[in-house]
Amino acid sequence: MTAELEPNWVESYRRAQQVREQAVAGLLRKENVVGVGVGMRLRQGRRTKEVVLVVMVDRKVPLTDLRPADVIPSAIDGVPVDVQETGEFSIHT
Amino acid sequence: MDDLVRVAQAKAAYQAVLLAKPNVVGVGTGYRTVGKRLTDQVCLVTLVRRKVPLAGLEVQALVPTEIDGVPTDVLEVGDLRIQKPRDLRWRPAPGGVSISHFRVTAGTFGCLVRDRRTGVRLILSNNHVLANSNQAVLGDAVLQPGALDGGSAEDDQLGRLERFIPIQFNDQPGECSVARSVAAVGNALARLVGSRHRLAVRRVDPQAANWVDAAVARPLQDAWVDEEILEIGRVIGTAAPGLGMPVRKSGRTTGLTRGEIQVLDTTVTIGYGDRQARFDGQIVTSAMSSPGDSGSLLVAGDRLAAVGLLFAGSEQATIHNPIAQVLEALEVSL
Repeated sequence: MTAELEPNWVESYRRAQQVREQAVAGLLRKENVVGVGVGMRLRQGRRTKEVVLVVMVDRKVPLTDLRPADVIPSAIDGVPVDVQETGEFSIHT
Repeated sequence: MDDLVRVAQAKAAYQAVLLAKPNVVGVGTGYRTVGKRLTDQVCLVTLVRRKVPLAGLEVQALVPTEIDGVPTDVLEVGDLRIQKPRDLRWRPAPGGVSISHFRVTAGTFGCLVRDRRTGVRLILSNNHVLANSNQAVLGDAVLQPGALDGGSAEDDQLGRLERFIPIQFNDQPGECSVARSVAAVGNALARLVGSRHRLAVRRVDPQAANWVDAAVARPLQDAWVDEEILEIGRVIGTAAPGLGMPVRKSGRTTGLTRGEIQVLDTTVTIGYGDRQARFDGQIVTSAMSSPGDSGSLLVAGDRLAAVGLLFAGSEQATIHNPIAQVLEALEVSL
Protein backbone atom coordinates (compact mmCIF):
# COMPACT_ATOMS: atom_id res chain seq x y z
CA MET A 1 0.00 0.00 0.00
CA THR A 2 1.03 3.60 -0.38
CA ALA A 3 1.35 6.52 1.96
CA GLU A 4 -0.77 9.67 1.79
CA LEU A 5 -3.86 7.99 3.21
CA GLU A 6 -5.60 8.84 6.46
CA PRO A 7 -3.64 7.64 9.52
CA ASN A 8 -6.10 4.84 10.36
CA TRP A 9 -6.76 3.83 6.76
CA VAL A 10 -6.33 0.11 7.41
CA GLU A 11 -9.36 0.14 9.71
CA SER A 12 -11.35 2.33 7.28
CA TYR A 13 -10.45 -0.02 4.45
CA ARG A 14 -11.53 -3.12 6.38
CA ARG A 15 -14.87 -1.57 7.36
CA ALA A 16 -15.51 -0.31 3.83
CA GLN A 17 -14.81 -3.84 2.52
CA GLN A 18 -17.31 -5.35 4.96
CA VAL A 19 -20.02 -2.86 4.01
CA ARG A 20 -19.19 -3.34 0.32
CA GLU A 21 -19.85 -7.08 0.56
CA GLN A 22 -23.31 -6.51 2.01
CA ALA A 23 -24.29 -3.55 -0.14
CA VAL A 24 -22.80 -4.32 -3.57
CA ALA A 25 -25.74 -6.24 -5.05
CA GLY A 26 -28.29 -3.60 -4.01
CA LEU A 27 -26.12 -0.72 -5.21
CA LEU A 28 -25.57 -2.30 -8.63
CA ARG A 29 -29.34 -2.53 -9.11
CA LYS A 30 -29.69 1.25 -8.80
CA GLU A 31 -30.03 3.40 -11.92
CA ASN A 32 -26.71 4.56 -13.47
CA VAL A 33 -24.46 2.49 -11.15
CA VAL A 34 -21.62 0.77 -13.05
CA GLY A 35 -19.25 -0.25 -10.25
CA VAL A 36 -18.69 -0.52 -6.51
CA GLY A 37 -15.30 -0.68 -4.79
CA VAL A 38 -13.14 0.61 -1.97
CA GLY A 39 -11.04 3.63 -2.76
CA MET A 40 -10.09 7.21 -2.15
CA ARG A 41 -12.62 10.02 -2.03
CA LEU A 42 -12.08 12.39 -4.94
CA ARG A 43 -12.59 16.16 -4.73
CA GLN A 44 -12.62 18.02 -8.06
CA GLY A 45 -10.98 14.98 -9.59
CA ARG A 46 -8.09 15.05 -7.10
CA ARG A 47 -7.76 12.32 -4.56
CA THR A 48 -8.05 12.93 -0.84
CA LYS A 49 -6.62 10.81 1.97
CA GLU A 50 -10.02 9.49 2.96
CA VAL A 51 -10.72 5.78 2.30
CA VAL A 52 -14.40 5.29 1.45
CA LEU A 53 -16.91 3.08 -0.33
CA VAL A 54 -16.75 4.21 -3.97
CA VAL A 55 -19.86 3.97 -6.13
CA MET A 56 -19.17 4.61 -9.80
CA VAL A 57 -21.99 5.95 -11.96
CA ASP A 58 -22.10 6.50 -15.70
CA ARG A 59 -23.44 10.00 -15.09
CA LYS A 60 -24.45 12.08 -12.10
CA VAL A 61 -28.04 13.24 -12.13
CA PRO A 62 -29.83 15.66 -9.79
CA LEU A 63 -31.48 13.94 -6.81
CA THR A 64 -34.84 15.29 -7.94
CA ASP A 65 -34.58 13.27 -11.17
CA LEU A 66 -34.09 9.98 -9.32
CA ARG A 67 -36.66 7.57 -8.00
CA PRO A 68 -36.16 7.22 -4.23
CA ALA A 69 -35.00 3.62 -4.74
CA ASP A 70 -32.18 4.82 -7.01
CA VAL A 71 -30.75 7.41 -4.61
CA ILE A 72 -27.27 6.49 -3.35
CA PRO A 73 -26.87 7.24 0.37
CA SER A 74 -23.96 9.43 1.51
CA ALA A 75 -23.01 6.78 4.07
CA ILE A 76 -23.85 3.11 4.69
CA ASP A 77 -23.53 1.68 8.21
CA GLY A 78 -21.27 4.58 9.14
CA VAL A 79 -18.98 4.12 6.11
CA PRO A 80 -18.87 7.24 3.91
CA VAL A 81 -19.86 6.79 0.25
CA ASP A 82 -18.29 8.75 -2.61
CA VAL A 83 -20.22 8.79 -5.88
CA GLN A 84 -17.77 9.09 -8.80
CA GLU A 85 -18.82 9.78 -12.38
CA THR A 86 -16.90 7.45 -14.68
CA GLY A 87 -19.06 7.04 -17.77
CA GLU A 88 -19.86 3.51 -18.97
CA PHE A 89 -16.97 1.08 -19.16
CA SER A 90 -16.24 -0.90 -22.29
CA ILE A 91 -13.44 -3.12 -23.51
CA HIS A 92 -10.49 -1.27 -25.02
CA THR A 93 -10.00 -2.94 -28.40
CA MET B 1 19.88 37.61 -36.57
CA ASP B 2 23.68 37.98 -36.69
CA ASP B 3 23.88 35.76 -33.64
CA LEU B 4 21.75 33.09 -35.29
CA VAL B 5 23.95 33.13 -38.38
CA ARG B 6 27.13 32.82 -36.31
CA VAL B 7 25.64 29.92 -34.34
CA ALA B 8 24.53 28.19 -37.54
CA GLN B 9 28.03 28.58 -39.01
CA ALA B 10 29.68 27.22 -35.88
CA LYS B 11 27.25 24.30 -35.87
CA ALA B 12 28.03 23.48 -39.51
CA ALA B 13 31.78 23.70 -38.89
CA TYR B 14 31.99 21.74 -35.62
CA GLN B 15 29.00 19.39 -35.63
CA ALA B 16 31.04 16.35 -36.68
CA VAL B 17 33.69 17.02 -34.03
CA LEU B 18 31.08 17.34 -31.29
CA LEU B 19 29.14 14.27 -32.38
CA ALA B 20 32.34 12.23 -32.26
CA LYS B 21 32.68 12.86 -28.52
CA PRO B 22 31.49 10.07 -26.26
CA ASN B 23 28.17 10.82 -24.56
CA VAL B 24 27.08 13.37 -27.23
CA VAL B 25 23.87 12.37 -29.04
CA GLY B 26 23.00 15.56 -30.89
CA VAL B 27 23.91 19.17 -31.75
CA GLY B 28 21.49 22.03 -32.34
CA THR B 29 20.89 25.75 -31.94
CA GLY B 30 18.85 27.11 -29.09
CA TYR B 31 18.62 29.50 -26.20
CA ARG B 32 20.98 29.20 -23.29
CA THR B 33 19.58 28.04 -19.97
CA VAL B 34 21.20 29.30 -16.80
CA GLY B 35 20.25 27.23 -13.80
CA LYS B 36 16.71 26.31 -14.83
CA ARG B 37 15.90 29.65 -16.47
CA LEU B 38 15.86 30.17 -20.19
CA THR B 39 17.79 33.27 -21.32
CA ASP B 40 17.43 35.06 -24.66
CA GLN B 41 21.05 34.31 -25.54
CA VAL B 42 21.36 32.24 -28.71
CA CYS B 43 23.89 29.41 -28.41
CA LEU B 44 25.08 26.10 -29.77
CA VAL B 45 23.38 23.32 -27.81
CA THR B 46 25.11 19.99 -27.34
CA LEU B 47 22.77 17.17 -26.34
CA VAL B 48 24.37 14.59 -24.07
CA ARG B 49 23.05 11.32 -22.61
CA ARG B 50 24.16 12.28 -19.13
CA LYS B 51 25.92 15.28 -17.68
CA VAL B 52 29.20 14.17 -16.11
CA PRO B 53 31.21 16.26 -13.62
CA LEU B 54 34.17 17.88 -15.41
CA ALA B 55 36.56 15.96 -13.20
CA GLY B 56 35.19 12.70 -14.55
CA LEU B 57 35.80 13.56 -18.20
CA GLU B 58 38.77 12.95 -20.48
CA VAL B 59 40.03 16.21 -22.05
CA GLN B 60 38.90 15.22 -25.54
CA ALA B 61 35.39 14.50 -24.23
CA LEU B 62 34.91 18.05 -22.96
CA VAL B 63 32.52 20.37 -24.77
CA PRO B 64 34.20 23.83 -24.83
CA THR B 65 32.18 26.66 -23.27
CA GLU B 66 32.48 28.59 -26.52
CA ILE B 67 33.39 27.81 -30.12
CA ASP B 68 34.54 30.63 -32.47
CA GLY B 69 33.03 33.13 -30.06
CA VAL B 70 29.68 31.31 -30.00
CA PRO B 71 28.58 30.25 -26.49
CA THR B 72 27.67 26.58 -25.99
CA ASP B 73 25.25 24.91 -23.68
CA VAL B 74 25.01 21.26 -22.68
CA LEU B 75 21.60 19.67 -22.32
CA GLU B 76 21.04 16.23 -20.78
CA VAL B 77 18.48 14.23 -22.79
CA GLY B 78 19.16 10.57 -21.97
CA ASP B 79 19.28 8.09 -24.85
CA LEU B 80 17.56 9.36 -27.96
CA ARG B 81 15.97 6.53 -29.82
CA ILE B 82 13.46 6.91 -32.57
CA GLN B 83 10.57 4.70 -31.57
CA LYS B 84 9.26 2.57 -34.39
CA PRO B 85 5.44 2.83 -34.40
CA ARG B 86 3.67 0.16 -32.33
CA ASP B 87 1.13 -0.67 -35.03
CA LEU B 88 3.80 -1.95 -37.43
CA ARG B 89 5.21 -5.47 -37.80
CA TRP B 90 7.84 -6.26 -35.14
CA ARG B 91 10.11 -9.35 -35.21
CA PRO B 92 11.00 -10.07 -32.54
CA ALA B 93 7.80 -8.57 -31.10
CA PRO B 94 8.18 -6.86 -27.71
CA GLY B 95 5.41 -6.16 -25.21
CA GLY B 96 3.41 -3.02 -25.99
CA VAL B 97 2.84 -3.58 -29.73
CA SER B 98 -0.31 -4.24 -31.76
CA ILE B 99 -1.67 -7.79 -31.74
CA SER B 100 -5.00 -9.55 -32.33
CA HIS B 101 -6.92 -12.71 -33.13
CA PHE B 102 -7.50 -12.68 -36.90
CA ARG B 103 -11.18 -11.70 -36.38
CA VAL B 104 -10.50 -8.96 -33.80
CA THR B 105 -9.58 -5.33 -34.54
CA ALA B 106 -6.42 -4.72 -32.47
CA GLY B 107 -5.21 -4.87 -28.91
CA THR B 108 -1.85 -4.99 -27.16
CA PHE B 109 0.72 -7.73 -26.53
CA GLY B 110 1.10 -7.40 -22.73
CA CYS B 111 4.27 -9.34 -22.07
CA LEU B 112 5.79 -12.81 -22.25
CA VAL B 113 4.89 -15.36 -19.59
CA ARG B 114 5.93 -18.97 -19.00
CA ASP B 115 3.73 -22.04 -18.98
CA ARG B 116 4.07 -23.45 -15.45
CA ARG B 117 4.11 -27.04 -16.68
CA THR B 118 6.11 -26.92 -19.91
CA GLY B 119 8.22 -23.76 -19.44
CA VAL B 120 7.25 -22.60 -22.94
CA ARG B 121 7.17 -18.81 -23.46
CA LEU B 122 3.66 -17.53 -24.20
CA ILE B 123 2.15 -14.19 -25.27
CA LEU B 124 -0.15 -12.65 -22.64
CA SER B 125 -3.13 -10.48 -23.54
CA ASN B 126 -6.91 -10.42 -23.05
CA ASN B 127 -9.47 -13.06 -24.02
CA HIS B 128 -11.23 -10.41 -26.12
CA VAL B 129 -7.97 -9.68 -27.97
CA LEU B 130 -6.61 -13.21 -28.54
CA ALA B 131 -9.77 -15.37 -28.29
CA ASN B 132 -12.43 -13.04 -29.72
CA SER B 133 -14.47 -13.01 -26.47
CA ASN B 134 -14.84 -16.84 -26.24
CA GLN B 135 -15.65 -17.22 -29.95
CA ALA B 136 -12.24 -18.47 -31.05
CA VAL B 137 -11.03 -22.05 -31.42
CA LEU B 138 -7.77 -23.13 -29.80
CA GLY B 139 -5.01 -22.91 -32.40
CA ASP B 140 -6.56 -19.90 -34.18
CA ALA B 141 -4.11 -17.46 -35.77
CA VAL B 142 -2.90 -14.50 -33.71
CA LEU B 143 -1.54 -11.64 -35.84
CA GLN B 144 1.13 -9.00 -35.20
CA PRO B 145 0.26 -6.31 -36.10
CA GLY B 146 -3.43 -6.84 -35.38
CA ALA B 147 -6.02 -7.05 -38.16
CA LEU B 148 -7.01 -3.37 -37.84
CA ASP B 149 -3.37 -2.40 -38.41
CA GLY B 150 -3.13 -4.42 -41.60
CA GLY B 151 -1.96 -7.73 -40.13
CA SER B 152 -2.87 -10.63 -42.41
CA ALA B 153 -3.12 -14.35 -41.69
CA GLU B 154 -0.82 -15.11 -44.66
CA ASP B 155 2.05 -12.77 -43.79
CA ASP B 156 1.77 -11.66 -40.17
CA GLN B 157 0.84 -14.64 -38.02
CA LEU B 158 2.89 -14.42 -34.82
CA GLY B 159 1.34 -17.33 -32.96
CA ARG B 160 -1.60 -19.57 -32.17
CA LEU B 161 -4.22 -19.24 -29.45
CA GLU B 162 -3.03 -21.55 -26.66
CA ARG B 163 -5.74 -21.11 -24.02
CA PHE B 164 -8.17 -18.57 -22.58
CA ILE B 165 -10.35 -18.04 -19.54
CA PRO B 166 -13.99 -17.99 -20.72
CA ILE B 167 -15.99 -14.86 -19.92
CA GLN B 168 -19.44 -15.31 -18.39
CA PHE B 169 -21.76 -12.79 -20.00
CA ASN B 170 -24.73 -11.39 -18.10
CA ASP B 171 -27.58 -12.14 -20.38
CA GLN B 172 -27.01 -15.38 -22.09
CA PRO B 173 -30.25 -17.06 -23.16
CA GLY B 174 -31.54 -18.95 -20.13
CA GLU B 175 -31.30 -22.69 -19.82
CA CYS B 176 -33.82 -23.23 -17.08
CA SER B 177 -36.98 -25.01 -18.24
CA VAL B 178 -39.03 -23.74 -15.28
CA ALA B 179 -38.15 -20.19 -16.22
CA ARG B 180 -38.99 -20.92 -19.87
CA SER B 181 -42.43 -22.23 -19.00
CA VAL B 182 -43.06 -19.29 -16.67
CA ALA B 183 -42.14 -16.96 -19.50
CA ALA B 184 -44.36 -18.88 -21.91
CA VAL B 185 -47.32 -18.66 -19.54
CA GLY B 186 -46.58 -15.00 -18.92
CA ASN B 187 -46.38 -14.28 -22.64
CA ALA B 188 -49.64 -16.14 -23.25
CA LEU B 189 -51.30 -13.99 -20.58
CA ALA B 190 -49.70 -10.89 -22.06
CA ARG B 191 -51.13 -11.76 -25.50
CA LEU B 192 -54.50 -12.44 -23.89
CA VAL B 193 -54.69 -8.95 -22.46
CA GLY B 194 -53.21 -7.36 -25.55
CA SER B 195 -50.05 -6.18 -23.82
CA ARG B 196 -47.13 -5.32 -26.04
CA HIS B 197 -44.67 -6.53 -23.39
CA ARG B 198 -43.20 -9.97 -23.78
CA LEU B 199 -41.09 -11.76 -21.22
CA ALA B 200 -37.79 -13.07 -22.51
CA VAL B 201 -35.86 -15.55 -20.44
CA ARG B 202 -32.55 -14.00 -19.58
CA ARG B 203 -30.18 -15.57 -17.16
CA VAL B 204 -28.99 -12.38 -15.50
CA ASP B 205 -26.71 -14.00 -13.03
CA PRO B 206 -25.67 -11.54 -10.35
CA GLN B 207 -23.27 -14.23 -9.19
CA ALA B 208 -21.59 -14.38 -12.60
CA ALA B 209 -18.24 -13.54 -11.18
CA ASN B 210 -15.51 -12.97 -13.72
CA TRP B 211 -12.11 -12.14 -12.36
CA VAL B 212 -10.08 -11.94 -15.54
CA ASP B 213 -10.32 -11.25 -19.26
CA ALA B 214 -7.18 -13.16 -20.17
CA ALA B 215 -5.65 -15.48 -22.75
CA VAL B 216 -2.25 -16.69 -23.95
CA ALA B 217 -0.96 -17.44 -27.44
CA ARG B 218 2.03 -19.57 -28.36
CA PRO B 219 4.54 -17.97 -30.74
CA LEU B 220 5.11 -19.92 -33.98
CA GLN B 221 8.82 -19.43 -33.31
CA ASP B 222 10.32 -18.65 -29.92
CA ALA B 223 12.78 -16.19 -31.53
CA TRP B 224 9.89 -14.03 -32.81
CA VAL B 225 9.07 -12.63 -29.36
CA ASP B 226 11.02 -10.47 -26.93
CA GLU B 227 11.03 -10.26 -23.11
CA GLU B 228 11.22 -6.44 -23.23
CA ILE B 229 8.17 -4.22 -22.95
CA LEU B 230 8.62 -1.09 -25.07
CA GLU B 231 9.64 1.96 -23.01
CA ILE B 232 9.44 -0.04 -19.78
CA GLY B 233 11.94 -2.87 -20.02
CA ARG B 234 11.87 -6.38 -18.65
CA VAL B 235 9.43 -6.98 -15.81
CA ILE B 236 10.55 -9.16 -12.92
CA GLY B 237 7.90 -10.44 -10.56
CA THR B 238 4.68 -8.89 -9.35
CA ALA B 239 3.59 -6.24 -6.85
CA ALA B 240 0.33 -6.10 -4.90
CA PRO B 241 -1.90 -3.18 -5.87
CA GLY B 242 -2.32 -0.42 -3.28
CA LEU B 243 -4.48 2.69 -3.06
CA GLY B 244 -2.64 5.71 -4.41
CA MET B 245 0.06 3.53 -5.98
CA PRO B 246 1.66 5.12 -9.07
CA VAL B 247 1.45 2.83 -12.13
CA ARG B 248 2.29 2.86 -15.86
CA LYS B 249 1.50 0.89 -18.96
CA SER B 250 2.87 0.51 -22.49
CA GLY B 251 0.14 0.06 -25.09
CA ARG B 252 -0.53 0.05 -28.83
CA THR B 253 -2.61 3.22 -28.96
CA THR B 254 -1.46 5.63 -26.27
CA GLY B 255 2.07 4.29 -25.75
CA LEU B 256 3.62 4.80 -22.33
CA THR B 257 1.16 6.41 -19.93
CA ARG B 258 1.12 6.85 -16.17
CA GLY B 259 -1.68 6.87 -13.62
CA GLU B 260 -2.52 5.92 -10.08
CA ILE B 261 -4.67 3.27 -8.45
CA GLN B 262 -7.85 4.88 -7.12
CA VAL B 263 -10.22 2.03 -6.30
CA LEU B 264 -9.67 -1.64 -5.36
CA ASP B 265 -11.87 -4.74 -4.87
CA THR B 266 -14.22 -3.31 -7.47
CA THR B 267 -17.29 -5.04 -8.84
CA VAL B 268 -17.91 -3.46 -12.21
CA THR B 269 -20.06 -3.93 -15.31
CA ILE B 270 -18.22 -3.86 -18.62
CA GLY B 271 -19.70 -3.49 -22.10
CA TYR B 272 -18.59 -5.99 -24.76
CA GLY B 273 -20.24 -4.56 -27.85
CA ASP B 274 -23.89 -5.56 -27.41
CA ARG B 275 -23.23 -7.76 -24.37
CA GLN B 276 -22.23 -7.07 -20.79
CA ALA B 277 -20.13 -8.93 -18.26
CA ARG B 278 -19.63 -8.35 -14.57
CA PHE B 279 -16.20 -8.51 -12.98
CA ASP B 280 -15.19 -8.75 -9.33
CA GLY B 281 -12.00 -7.75 -7.57
CA GLN B 282 -10.89 -5.28 -10.25
CA ILE B 283 -8.31 -2.49 -10.03
CA VAL B 284 -9.47 0.99 -11.12
CA THR B 285 -6.87 3.60 -12.08
CA SER B 286 -7.10 7.15 -13.36
CA ALA B 287 -7.67 7.28 -17.14
CA MET B 288 -4.58 5.89 -18.89
CA SER B 289 -5.84 4.09 -21.99
CA SER B 290 -7.86 4.20 -25.22
CA PRO B 291 -9.28 1.53 -27.51
CA GLY B 292 -6.37 -0.63 -28.76
CA ASP B 293 -4.60 -0.62 -25.39
CA SER B 294 -6.47 -3.72 -24.16
CA GLY B 295 -4.00 -6.37 -23.05
CA SER B 296 -1.32 -3.93 -21.83
CA LEU B 297 0.48 -4.96 -18.68
CA LEU B 298 -0.07 -2.62 -15.74
CA VAL B 299 3.36 -2.07 -14.13
CA ALA B 300 4.34 -0.35 -10.86
CA GLY B 301 5.41 3.25 -11.48
CA ASP B 302 8.75 2.95 -9.70
CA ARG B 303 9.66 -0.74 -10.10
CA LEU B 304 9.72 -3.38 -12.82
CA ALA B 305 6.88 -5.29 -11.18
CA ALA B 306 3.60 -6.34 -12.81
CA VAL B 307 0.41 -5.22 -11.05
CA GLY B 308 -2.44 -5.90 -13.47
CA LEU B 309 -3.73 -6.59 -16.97
CA LEU B 310 -5.54 -3.66 -18.61
CA PHE B 311 -8.78 -4.59 -20.37
CA ALA B 312 -11.43 -1.85 -20.26
CA GLY B 313 -12.10 1.77 -19.52
CA SER B 314 -13.98 5.00 -20.07
CA GLU B 315 -12.93 8.62 -20.58
CA GLN B 316 -12.52 8.95 -16.80
CA ALA B 317 -10.96 5.67 -15.64
CA THR B 318 -9.23 2.46 -16.72
CA ILE B 319 -10.00 -1.07 -15.43
CA HIS B 320 -7.45 -3.85 -14.87
CA ASN B 321 -7.51 -7.47 -13.70
CA PRO B 322 -5.19 -8.15 -10.74
CA ILE B 323 -2.10 -9.86 -12.17
CA ALA B 324 -2.01 -12.60 -9.53
CA GLN B 325 -5.47 -13.82 -10.62
CA VAL B 326 -4.44 -13.67 -14.29
CA LEU B 327 -1.30 -15.78 -13.78
CA GLU B 328 -3.14 -18.25 -11.53
CA ALA B 329 -6.09 -18.72 -13.90
CA LEU B 330 -3.86 -19.25 -16.95
CA GLU B 331 -1.33 -21.40 -15.05
CA VAL B 332 1.58 -19.27 -16.16
CA SER B 333 4.29 -17.26 -14.41
CA LEU B 334 6.22 -14.13 -15.29
